[in-house]
Amino acid sequence: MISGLDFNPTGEYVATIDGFDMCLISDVTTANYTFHQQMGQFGGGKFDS
Amino acid sequence: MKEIPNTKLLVSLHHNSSKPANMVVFDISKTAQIKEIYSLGEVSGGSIINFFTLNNYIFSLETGVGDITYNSRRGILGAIPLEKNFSYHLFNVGSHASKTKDIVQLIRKSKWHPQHSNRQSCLIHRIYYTL
Repeated sequence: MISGLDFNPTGEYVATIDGFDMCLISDVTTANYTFHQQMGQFGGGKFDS
Repeated sequence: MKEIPNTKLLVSLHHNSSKPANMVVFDISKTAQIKEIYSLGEVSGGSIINFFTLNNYIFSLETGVGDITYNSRRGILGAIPLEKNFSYHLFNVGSHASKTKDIVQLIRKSKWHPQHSNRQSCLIHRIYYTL
């Protein structure tokens, strides 16, 4: 499940993080995948906004 | 509950592991008359695991936890992910729109990316072989 999401300051990209700390960046306009990175284990999280 | 910066709008987000999700936007420009201007409606789906005892578990159709974010430069709001269906719902927020119905508009349900989805399957396998 997605536990947190945040836009970058220009609103071009959105970062989503799930309950297993998988962080994924995608393009807001196209919704296309850009990048993902495993951040940790079984933590989940929120982004500051 | 989240305030949309530089507007008189409040967003109320409901996410729960046992109930459908919803998002409601209120206009608080007139304190004597706080008005609901937008409601997404109930959103169900996904596959969140609920544990009731150590030995029993079920799969429900609820949305679980969620988050909300707003970008003031583009006037866009993201909220309500739906497991394996949508990464988030994307809204346009035009606080200066002439008609109330145009202030908040759903632009798109952004597609789910598979990099997120395999994780829960791993957990399900672990639970199955543990029980």
